[in-house]
Amino acid sequence: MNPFDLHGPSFLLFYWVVVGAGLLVLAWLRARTDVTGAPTRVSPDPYLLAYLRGGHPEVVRVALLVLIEDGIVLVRGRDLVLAPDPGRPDRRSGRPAIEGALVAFLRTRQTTLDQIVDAGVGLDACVAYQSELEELGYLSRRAQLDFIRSIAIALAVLFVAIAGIKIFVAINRGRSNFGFLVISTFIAFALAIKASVPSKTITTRGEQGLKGTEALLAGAKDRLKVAGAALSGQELAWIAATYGFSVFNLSSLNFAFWPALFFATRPNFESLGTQGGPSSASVFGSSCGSSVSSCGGGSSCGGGCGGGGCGGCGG
Amino acid sequence: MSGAEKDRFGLGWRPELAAGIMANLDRIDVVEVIAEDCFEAPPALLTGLRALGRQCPIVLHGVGLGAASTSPIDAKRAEAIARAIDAVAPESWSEHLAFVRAGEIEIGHLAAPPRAPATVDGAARNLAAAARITGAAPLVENVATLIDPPGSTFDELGWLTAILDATPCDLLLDLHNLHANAINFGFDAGAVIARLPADRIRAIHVAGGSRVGGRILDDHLHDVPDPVFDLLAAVAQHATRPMTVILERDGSYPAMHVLLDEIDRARAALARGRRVRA
Repeated sequence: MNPFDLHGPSFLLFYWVVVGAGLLVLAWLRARTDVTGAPTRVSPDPYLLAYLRGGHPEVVRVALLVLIEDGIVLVRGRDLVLAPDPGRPDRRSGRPAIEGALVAFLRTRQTTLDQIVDAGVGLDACVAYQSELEELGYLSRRAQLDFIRSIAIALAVLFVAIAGIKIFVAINRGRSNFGFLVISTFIAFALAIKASVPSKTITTRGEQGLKGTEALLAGAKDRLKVAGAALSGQELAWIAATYGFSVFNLSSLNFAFWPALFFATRPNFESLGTQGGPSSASVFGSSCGSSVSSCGGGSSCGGGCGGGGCGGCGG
Repeated sequence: MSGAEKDRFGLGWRPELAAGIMANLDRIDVVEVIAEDCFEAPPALLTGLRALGRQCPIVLHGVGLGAASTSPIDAKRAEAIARAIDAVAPESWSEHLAFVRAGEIEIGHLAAPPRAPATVDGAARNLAAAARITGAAPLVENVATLIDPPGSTFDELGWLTAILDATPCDLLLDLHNLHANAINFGFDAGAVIARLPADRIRAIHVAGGSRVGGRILDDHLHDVPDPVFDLLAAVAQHATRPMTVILERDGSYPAMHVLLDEIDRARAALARGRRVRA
């Protein structure tokens, strides 16, 4: 039986059976990219965690936090500049590649966080984080996702092709009642294209690992509220990598990195997520990060601004 | 559960220190987690601790069993420790040689019991029950006290030795507790160390305390005093087995590098003692 000889509703039924089967295959392939089971270990590196949460932009932010706290990078308003003579010696031997890349970039210019992210500084280092997180089962494997994307696009083309052939046959037979088929084709095409873009790449195990680290560091986060708490740049990096920079809203401590890293010139980093990031999550967790002017208003930043953390907001 | 194959140095896990510990796992060989903190912990925390334990060995430390008592331990509490062991998969677990409740009353303190044959027998019974319920015998830790326990017929060394003789449990020797008791009651801590069974000392606690009216209170809020490091060197000179040394700090947290420096001092003290022994 030639399916293109089917009439009206019968062909539509056939068409949606084909579309449904294709989408089911995509869903099955997508499910196979998830990794379940308990985390094998916690992240040994805050940058892995930052990448897991927010991709390349978040890794850059956390690395800049460390460099600022170590006195290697200075904050000038919202700009970042390499310290001519770092106040504190570099106590850490063998800095991670991301920090090295940032130092090399800042050696040539004074710039902002957004410009650093836009320039793709540290993307090479993030490739390694992506691989390691895939090995840990915290992120779906890119190769699998690329394969699914190819299948989804092929299916989208197939759905259009089937409908196109049927419409061609119908027109040749003097019929024009293919409106529902056209609508169905648009819907099927949209569904297939949507399926080609992963809604999330973090796996179930990755989510568990992230929650586990959040639980481990809950007390450290609370220390941000303690006046005079002595937290090193590395500790702050772990807290930022685990909870995001919005957590510093809770703090009454005065952080040198605040104006340059918390307040950005664009609302969020989502548009950059496709470049280097696995997660669709916004790196800003609060309204404070959504607007530069919110600090100028002096009201929406809560404890962060009131506590003196907004020293650079005014310019 | 297993023991250390080499001398190791670590820190008591406290939520406030978590970020510092995570950031310095290259300088921390082992982490000690309070067992009671796991009893009603959210699953995510237990998952996190178990995952952490795969990178850095975890030992579990109980503070509420009240093993050194003529009263039997609360089986439910021992079962909770067993569940914590299952959840976190520690390398070993430990408990204090103290009593913490009398009848239905929780005294909220690790109190030194009368050092008498009755508490030796009670501790042996309780530790056997705890080992049966949890599946592993705990290390047992000496406690500090501001008063000489009334009704005692043993001195501290004799009582500890009697319990070690009566149980399969090895000793977690808290050097600040020993130092505090030595100051408070005027005995020579070094002499006690020299007479403890050398093959039964498996772990060490170091901590700091404060002076209260001429006595030392083991409050874990201060830096480790020099005499404790000297005692650690003495233990290293005497003890035959690899040692797990844990720095305990329960508040007034300094910058992390201060705690790491104390761990490094402990390393140096133990190495000094080991060299003398060799």
